[in-house]
This record gives sequence, structure tokens and C-alpha cells, in this order.
Amino acid sequence: MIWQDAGSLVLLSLGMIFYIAGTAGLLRFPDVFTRLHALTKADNLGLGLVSSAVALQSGSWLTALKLLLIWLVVLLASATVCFLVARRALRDGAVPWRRER
Amino acid sequence: MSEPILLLFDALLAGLLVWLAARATTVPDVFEGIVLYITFGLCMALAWVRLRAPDIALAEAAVGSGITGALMLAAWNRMRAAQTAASERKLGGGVTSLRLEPEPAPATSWPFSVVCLALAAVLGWAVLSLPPEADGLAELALAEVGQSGVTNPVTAALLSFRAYDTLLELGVLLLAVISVWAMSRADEPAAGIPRGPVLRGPAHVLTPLLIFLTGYFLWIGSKRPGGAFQAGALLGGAAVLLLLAYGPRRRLPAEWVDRAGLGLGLLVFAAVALGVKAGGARLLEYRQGAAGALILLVEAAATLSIGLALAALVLGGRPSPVRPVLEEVVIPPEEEP
Repeated sequence: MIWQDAGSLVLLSLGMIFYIAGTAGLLRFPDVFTRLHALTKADNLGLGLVSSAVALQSGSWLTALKLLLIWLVVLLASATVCFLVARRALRDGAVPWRRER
Repeated sequence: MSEPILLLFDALLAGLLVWLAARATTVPDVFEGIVLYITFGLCMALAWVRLRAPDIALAEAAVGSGITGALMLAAWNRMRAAQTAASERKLGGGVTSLRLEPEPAPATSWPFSVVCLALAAVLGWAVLSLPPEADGLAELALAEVGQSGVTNPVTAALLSFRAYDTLLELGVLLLAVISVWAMSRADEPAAGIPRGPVLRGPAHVLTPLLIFLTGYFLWIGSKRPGGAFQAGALLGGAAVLLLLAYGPRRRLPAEWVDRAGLGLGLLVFAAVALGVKAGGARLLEYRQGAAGALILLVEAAATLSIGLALAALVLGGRPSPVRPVLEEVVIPPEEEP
């Protein structure tokens, strides 16, 4: 039991680090493309870690399987939406940010 | 142990809800308002979960945030296209701005404000004049769930105790679709929405999953959170996904199929209502033993109609009677940034 709790705690902390990184990127990055990059990638991994932590706590294979399914669907949806948002932004004339030389 | 943490979470959530609602209604940019509204819906769903109302949380997430959000975005797209066309006509070419400029705020209409204030006062008085010690009908309803043929109290209330309301709700939804169909046609939405393999791939994976979940929510609704409206919203979501991936001109069923499907829920519900009356009972008074099956039948038909109606509303008009040739939309090559 204690090992499960410890595992959950570690996974949850790691997940939160990724969420915080994604949110920091969303707030701090210069344009829509870099923000999307930060948000979708970091949050996808964060969600995977958080749902693993919850799955450890659930103590049931069925619930764990459902959480895995939720994570996979979110991965698919967020990757697709990231692409669609970026393409729309590009077509609407957003200029990708470049490092100033 | 975790109570103070949860209290903090609830306080944050409540504050966020108020802030989102205020921002969504006051922000000048329409698109921003829509995004804030969708966010508000998701936070509201979370609030319903905290209030232990998972049925309403599901409905809020699926209908209030998901489908309504898609509806608003579709409307925004149409407004934008109309504005672009208008400015092209005016300026003879070159579009100057694609931002939706808000109309100048109209001068406050005093008679209207007085009416609204009076209405608020009457409603407030009505609430305050309720006897404070009444518990409503919740206890009575919970005590009688056993008689309804289902074990989920929310489904029992929706389809048995107050089935009349639900019957009329289906009618309202159908009326909404009829009005939209009478007003406009579903044309190819604004140019500049290229479809492509990136949306089609997930659509291929998600559509079967959504249809499977529709069946799951329909079936589980008699025992646990779920039911016709949640299932219908998922079905509508699947239809909207296909519309986005393939465009409205491809693979739409024939119009009579749409019409039959849209009306099916109301027809089956009304037939059941009148059928039990013909059997000697009162309107919508299901016989013990048959109630569960009748509710499932009504919900199955309603799910199909709700899904179709929601998708039809997002499509925003009557499907064109001309059956166009199946054509691939040519995607212009991505220009180099």
C-alpha cells in the first residue's frame, strides 16, 4: 500500500512539473506556434503521469484501463487540434517567431 | 484531512467561474468570447462534479460546452465569411481586416431595462416566498425510484416522473431545427477551411469510439449517470467531427432519412405516451414491468434524434437538395512561411 502511495506521489509530482512547464510556456513564449508546442507536448505527458498516479490509487484494472483510454484519446485529440490551430494561424497570417540576430 | 484543500479548490473554481462569465460577456472580440464561454462550460462541468451531480456534469460538458461551442464557432465562421464578402464588395477586392469589429454598444433602452428589472424582482420574490422548510420533491422522487423501471434517479425523473417535460423538450429541439432549416441552406462553409488527412485520421478512429460510447451512455443511463441527452450529444459530436473532416457535401444521408431521424424521438415518445393511454392507463403512465423497456425504447429513439438535431444545428441550414458529385476538396499546397 505504502509503495503504491509513494509511486502515486512521485508520478503526480512529475506530472505537475510538466503541467507547470506547459503553463509557463503558454504564458511566456512569444507566438502561437511556440505556445502550442509547449502546451500540447508538456500537458500530454503531464496528463499521462497524473492519470498513471490516479490509476495506481484506483486499485482496479478496469479503471486503470479506462484512464489509459482517456489519455490515448486526449493525445490524439490534442495532437490534431494543435495541428489545426497552427495551420489556421499560419493561413491567417501569423508569422512564426524567429530569434533576433 | 483533505477538507481545507477541497474548500480552497472550490473557492478557486467558484471565483474562476464568475470571472470567466464576466469576461465572456464583456470581451469585445467575439472569438475570444466564444473561447471563454467554452472554458466556462468545462469549469461548470467540474463544478457539477463537485456538487455530486455527474449527470448534469456530463450534459454540461457535452452539450453546454462541446456542442454549443461548436455551434458558436460555426456561427462565427459564417459571420466572418459574410463580413469578408461584404468588405470585398465594398472595397472591390482587398480585405482589410478579418477581425470582427463589435457593433457600437446601443444606447441603454430604459423601457427594456425596467421590464428586465421587474422580471428579476418578480422572480426574486417568487424564490423568497417559497416556504423555507420545504425539501422539494427530491425525497418523494427518491422513494419512488423503485417504481419507475430504472434505478438511476435522474433518468427516473426525466423519463418517468416528469416525462411530459422531456417530451416537450424533444419537441422544442425539433422546432429549433425546423426554424433553422426554414431560414437557411447548408452551403459549403466559408472557403479557407481546407480539409485534409490530419483531421480525417483521428475522425476515423474517434467516430467509431464515439458511436460506441453513445450506446454505452444510452444503456448505462438506466442505472448510472448517462442517458439520452448525453448519448445524443456524443452522437452529434461524431456527426460534427465527420462534417468537419469531410465537409457537408459528402456522405450526407438522403434528406428523407434526416427528416425521419430528426422526428423519430418525438414520434416514438408520443406513440408510447398515447399507446399506454390506449391501454387504459393515463398519459405516459407506464405499466409496472414494461416501464424499463419503454424508457429504453424512448431513450434510444431520442438519442438518435438529439444527435441528428445537434449536428443539424451546427451545420446551420437545410442540406442542399442537389446531390453533388463526390469530389475531393483540393488542398492548396502549404505556402512557405
